[in-house]
Amino acid sequence: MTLLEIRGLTVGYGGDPVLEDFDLHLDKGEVLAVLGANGAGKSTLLRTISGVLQPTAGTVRLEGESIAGRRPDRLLRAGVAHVLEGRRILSSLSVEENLLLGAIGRGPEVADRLGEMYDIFEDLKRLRRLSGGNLSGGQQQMLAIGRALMARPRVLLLDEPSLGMAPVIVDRLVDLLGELRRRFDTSVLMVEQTVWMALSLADRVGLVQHGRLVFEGAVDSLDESMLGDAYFGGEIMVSRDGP
Amino acid sequence: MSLFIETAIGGLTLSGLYFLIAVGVTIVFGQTRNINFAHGQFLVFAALLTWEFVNNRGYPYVPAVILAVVIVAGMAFVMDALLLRRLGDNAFASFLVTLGVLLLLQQGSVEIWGPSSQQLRPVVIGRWVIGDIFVPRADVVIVIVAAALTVGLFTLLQRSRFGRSVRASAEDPLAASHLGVPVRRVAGATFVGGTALAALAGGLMALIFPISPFDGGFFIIKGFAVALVAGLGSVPGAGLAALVLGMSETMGQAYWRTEWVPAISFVLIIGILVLRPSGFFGRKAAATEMAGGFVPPPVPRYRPWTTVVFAALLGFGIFLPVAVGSFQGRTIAGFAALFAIQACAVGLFYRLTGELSFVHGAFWGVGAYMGAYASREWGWGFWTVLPLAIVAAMVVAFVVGAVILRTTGLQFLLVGFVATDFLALLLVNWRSVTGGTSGITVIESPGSVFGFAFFDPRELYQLFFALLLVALALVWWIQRTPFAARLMAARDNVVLARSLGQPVRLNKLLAFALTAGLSGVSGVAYLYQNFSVAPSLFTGLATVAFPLMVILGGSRSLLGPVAGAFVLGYIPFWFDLGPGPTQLAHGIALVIVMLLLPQGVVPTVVRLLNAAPGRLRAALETLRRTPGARSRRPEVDGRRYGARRQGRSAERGER
Repeated sequence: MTLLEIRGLTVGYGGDPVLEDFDLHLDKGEVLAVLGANGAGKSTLLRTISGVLQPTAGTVRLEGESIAGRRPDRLLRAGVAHVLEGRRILSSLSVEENLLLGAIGRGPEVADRLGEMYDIFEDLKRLRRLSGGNLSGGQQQMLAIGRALMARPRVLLLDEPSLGMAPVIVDRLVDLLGELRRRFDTSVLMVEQTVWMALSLADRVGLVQHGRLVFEGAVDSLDESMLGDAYFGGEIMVSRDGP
Repeated sequence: MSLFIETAIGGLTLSGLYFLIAVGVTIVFGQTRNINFAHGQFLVFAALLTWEFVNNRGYPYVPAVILAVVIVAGMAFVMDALLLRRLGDNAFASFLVTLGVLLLLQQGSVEIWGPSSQQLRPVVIGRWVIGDIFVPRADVVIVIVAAALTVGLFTLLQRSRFGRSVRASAEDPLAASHLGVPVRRVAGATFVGGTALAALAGGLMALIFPISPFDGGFFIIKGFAVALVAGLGSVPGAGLAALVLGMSETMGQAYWRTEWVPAISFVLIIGILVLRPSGFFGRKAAATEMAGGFVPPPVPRYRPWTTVVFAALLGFGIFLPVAVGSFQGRTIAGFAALFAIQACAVGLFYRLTGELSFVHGAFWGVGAYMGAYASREWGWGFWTVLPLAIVAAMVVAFVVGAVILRTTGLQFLLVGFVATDFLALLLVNWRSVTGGTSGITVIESPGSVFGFAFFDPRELYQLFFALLLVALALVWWIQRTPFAARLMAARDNVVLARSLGQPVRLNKLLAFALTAGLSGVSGVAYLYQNFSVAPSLFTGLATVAFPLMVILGGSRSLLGPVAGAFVLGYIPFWFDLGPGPTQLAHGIALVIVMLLLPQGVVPTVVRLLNAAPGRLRAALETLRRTPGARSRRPEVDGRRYGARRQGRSAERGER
């Protein structure tokens, strides 16, 4: 069943549109990875869904209800959480306050969720009194994801979760995201540069090239030449003399 | 000993009040990255409301204060919703609008309650006697309320969801908004809450001090001093800084010299912004956020037709006083012309550096006072006084600039304002030279030169207008020098300019001194037009008119400041206003211009005039053609403009 549906989306920063006539859908309970080269429009896609950017054309629907142009805080209430690129942990708040800020709802319910997060992210429980700025990059990424899950979103948007992470941490992140999938019925739309990470988590893959979706389908139906195309804009050059 | 303890109790009371003022400044800055200049005036307004309710309507004190706080909070809500919200993240425009609101509130209070100080009927009376120490009950009430509010506020910020939201959106509004914080609403609530605290301080202050409508500027300076020393955004720091300032002022009054006590906060503000802009407890980032300048887009090129119209206006300027006829009209024209010279100086410095200078008002005062002194003591005439005043203004600017040009953006603006107030305080206190509060009177005229006589207002106007034309030519030439190009490059990208080996601060200092020379000219002209100078003419608030003229007329344009000076100069004449209502009109003008014509009058007129021949032609064309052809043009236009507008809103969303 389609949870999030994007149709004919056109959006840009004033000049030529970054995304043009873009279609994509996210089914309930699935993990969709959107891959593409730098500047292909992946982050713009997430920013538009979460209300930071206003589309010039097209629709974004959550279970049939149009959500395009809503402010991020309203969207969160509607069930769309966005883990921003670069994590953006608030250093003037403690780890626990960072988590609490992400929660919607009151009292016992919030305390339950906090306990749940501490179950999954044991590090965060240990560090909960520290300022968010004192965490390592990996811990901050866990906090950013945990913070977004405190709102119990139906859709989780993940922008480059592996960016700037050591390979060991990426492994751990993959394990954790897998566990989160088992625990919650959150659907995930992730944008990722680390292809193996994306492919090991995702059910389906979308490939973006020059602001258009050039492939969409199950992970196993993706072949490598397509990836090469999307990342390098043509066949991969193996030597200077040609392919 | 008992004097010391009693003084300390007074100091504690004052500290509590200062804290309540500063905490609003500090938390509002955290949310909006902006400084509310009207903050202190809201305090005064609440104090006067309390006085009105208690003395004139016989309400009991506590309900009177609550009512005053509610009314002021409502006003803050309206100000936020109608003005600040519409200006968005343009900190510069918002700052100027709050300045406009200050002027409006101040003169509004004068209109309602008159200009004199009002003393609340004693409501909390008597004192406790402990040994030989007297403790006034009113002071105890104030200290207890302030302490309770401090604890309450701290708990609110640290423990509640609202507090977390406030702290989160102060640090990173985008991240906060993705965590469900309605950032704009939180900012609005903080603005209203912070202003309500100032109002409460006003209600409390009425217990022990008489309050006059003109105290708003005084209190906001205290608020700034405390908030900046603590570091913007730091509430506990503000508590400590308030204690330091309150104590040192009361001790200074008791053991030192009362007339220099205001200097404490001036020195604190200038010192902290120059040496340690993040304060003692603040985030570094808050200081940089305050340092950002704002430069409006350039004025479009003049088309031939536009040039003709402007040249005609300038030519008309010479005959203006002849045209308006009356004696009063000619005098006003003289003031407008000499104000225009000063506005040219502020405008040039703004175009070269991107910094809006409130301190050129001080150099203007230096020029005027230097002229007055040389005239009174040495009997010098206009033409010898003029170069002397130019040099004096430039020397003072060089020294002052060497210190304060380390700051930029809002910091510079604030430092300039405070430095001007500092100069006014010097003028009041240095009686042997300046004649104290009553100033210096010089009834002289420039006499005759090369067969031209300059005696009556019409001739004076023509002299000043000629000086203005010389100043304009000079400004026009300076803007085309390589020196100006280097400065403007640094204005647009200071890091790049430094990395290319530009001595940015030295260049700025030279431009500062150069433009101060023009201020000196205008200052001397003012002396000869007004026949006297007094410190009250040269305070920060009194000289706000100059940057205002620049913004109103169009800061990026050569003629903008001139237009601004004439419009503002003529407002009192056209509407037959006294000095108070003039200030009211300035406030209204400031608010309207920032909302409707943020680029100023001249650029807007240039745009209209440039387009006028084309529009005229198009109109004639449509008249000639069949009615069917009419609909085509607007449709094409509409599509194009529509597309552009959408692009812009997308851009804004990104930020």
